[in-house]
Amino acid sequence: MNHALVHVLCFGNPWHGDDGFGLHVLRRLRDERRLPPHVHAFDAGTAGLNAIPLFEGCTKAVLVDAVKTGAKIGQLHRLSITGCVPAVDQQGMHGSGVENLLAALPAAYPNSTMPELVLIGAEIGQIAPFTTVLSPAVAAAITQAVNLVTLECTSRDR
Amino acid sequence: MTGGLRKIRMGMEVNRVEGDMEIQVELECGVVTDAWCSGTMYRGYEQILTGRDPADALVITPRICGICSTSHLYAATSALEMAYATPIAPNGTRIRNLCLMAESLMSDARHTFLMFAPDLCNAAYADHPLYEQVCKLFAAPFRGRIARETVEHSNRILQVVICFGGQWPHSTYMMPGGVTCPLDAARLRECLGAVEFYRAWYERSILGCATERWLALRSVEDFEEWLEEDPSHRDSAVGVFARYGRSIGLHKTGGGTPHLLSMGCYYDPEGWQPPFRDRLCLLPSGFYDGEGKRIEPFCEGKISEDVSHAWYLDPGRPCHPWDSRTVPARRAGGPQYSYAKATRYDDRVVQLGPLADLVVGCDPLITSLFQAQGPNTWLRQFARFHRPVRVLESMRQTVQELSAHLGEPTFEPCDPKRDGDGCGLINAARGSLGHWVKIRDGTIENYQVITPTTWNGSPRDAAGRRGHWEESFIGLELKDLENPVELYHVVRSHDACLVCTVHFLRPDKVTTFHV
Repeated sequence: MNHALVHVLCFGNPWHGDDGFGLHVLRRLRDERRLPPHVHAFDAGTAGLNAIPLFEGCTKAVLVDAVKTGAKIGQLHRLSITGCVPAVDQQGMHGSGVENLLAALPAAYPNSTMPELVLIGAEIGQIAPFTTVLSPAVAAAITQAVNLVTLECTSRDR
Repeated sequence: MTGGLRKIRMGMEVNRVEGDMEIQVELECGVVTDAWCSGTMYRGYEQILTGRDPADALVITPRICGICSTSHLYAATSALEMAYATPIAPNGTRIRNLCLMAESLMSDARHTFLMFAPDLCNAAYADHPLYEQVCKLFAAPFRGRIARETVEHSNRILQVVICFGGQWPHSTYMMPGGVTCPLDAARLRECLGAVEFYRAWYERSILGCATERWLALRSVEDFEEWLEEDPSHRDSAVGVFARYGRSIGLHKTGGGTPHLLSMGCYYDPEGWQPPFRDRLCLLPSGFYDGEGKRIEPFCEGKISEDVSHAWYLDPGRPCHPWDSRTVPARRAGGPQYSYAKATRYDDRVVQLGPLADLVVGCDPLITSLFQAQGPNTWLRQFARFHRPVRVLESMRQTVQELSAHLGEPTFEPCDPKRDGDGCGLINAARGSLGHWVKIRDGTIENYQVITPTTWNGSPRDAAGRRGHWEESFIGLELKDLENPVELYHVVRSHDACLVCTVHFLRPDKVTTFHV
């Protein structure tokens, strides 16, 4: 089967507790070597707009991040992102989060077809600064998140 | 509304290297009468590096900044080269220069069009005849045409760094002796393609004319004539900024200290070799004495750090960076109010940035404007429109040079020494950046980083003199305390690249403004 290229972009600050959820998922993906050759996984950290090049050349991008929607902490969300993402008026590169990154993508690649975008997010609560340890509920979501990411990368309907 | 005496506190992220900064200003009848810049966060890169293998600096220091990581890598590598007295492959220096130039283009565009220019769309100017045109170009987030184009083009030009460094930011491809990547024709073609793509955009959207035409402007008169010469000039990004910026008075604010410092940039590939005595740079170093109105040779030994008003252990006297320590000592009371040190040159407060770099480098157009206006908000930003044109020319020349030296190495093997002192000085996008290292018994004994923000955002020194940013606010008139857009312009013109927040403190409430 000829797989198109999939990029897995894991976001977060590993030093700020649950905010680093995406990077914990990345570590597990790498440790377990579960990603097939057509999948490239990246530590997008807190790159903001600097993560734009990580979308280059892929037909699908799976974003892994911590989210806050008011749901139960540790709950996983799968969000298929279609159409233009509205930007947040932050006016600062260091304040540009994933929303602004996605909003900037069409401008960054005006003559290219946008990749399919899927977000796998774990609901988090209060962020504990200066710790690499996840809260128990968020840590418990890693295994399922890894399964979901793997599924996204291997599903035939990509 | 212009109230009487009241305090305003502005919080913005900066620090010794990067992080948080608060600015507090005092107003009388709506005019700033005093100011204090406070770096509120300590990150301690200097302490992280102490005791480590010197090569660790090549991996750790690029993490200091997500915008200027190439600058930090270049400075760190140069510091080690000086400490080791090791020769550098000229092609290695050329590739470093090329990558630093690419980062400069990215930074100038993102700062100007994604951070500074959106303030021109502030509602305070809604009645201005050019307001609609300004918003069509610069409105945030990514609504203005130039803002959208900036995302694409600032991203594409970084391909130059990726060609050699594999990634941007936070790459580590420079090593003492050169760069670790080979040089081949395919890479050069890719670089040249990125440069030409950027140049085409700059001519089409930013200048409204060919770069050659722009570089022919050598005086105030030339520029004014150019501005009226053609509608494509007037309606280009720089044309609109120039007209609009002056009409709202940006050329009359944000002067700050009259002294300018530039440590020079882009080492001469053939000349920058041990013993590194003369600073042989393509963009020369120097100190502009704002009182004597003359440019003097730059002397690295005249740099000192004063911590009388900073939360560090105070040796009781200003110290040169090699002898300086960065040991945090926060305490209540006392005159200290910042984690930024008061960095001085020859015991004088100086300002750094593209304006300083171009004045010291004797750029004809910027020098002419500077002589006519002195330092100010408008000119500081105008310099960021102008500098990329020169940088594009330098990039083309550098690619040509690399093509002429295609078969030569990019790296000279280095024999690290057990002991040595070195400093790496280059110009990052926001001004001169310095790394100082002392190596003893094969490990780092002392490492000091002085960024342009440390200079510009410094607190008072032992003599009570304000830092440059503090000084640049004095006399600034705020027409509406609910919307202090004048403060935003001054802050932004210094390329405080981070999220800025203004807090107005009142007895009954705190209002927060994101700038």
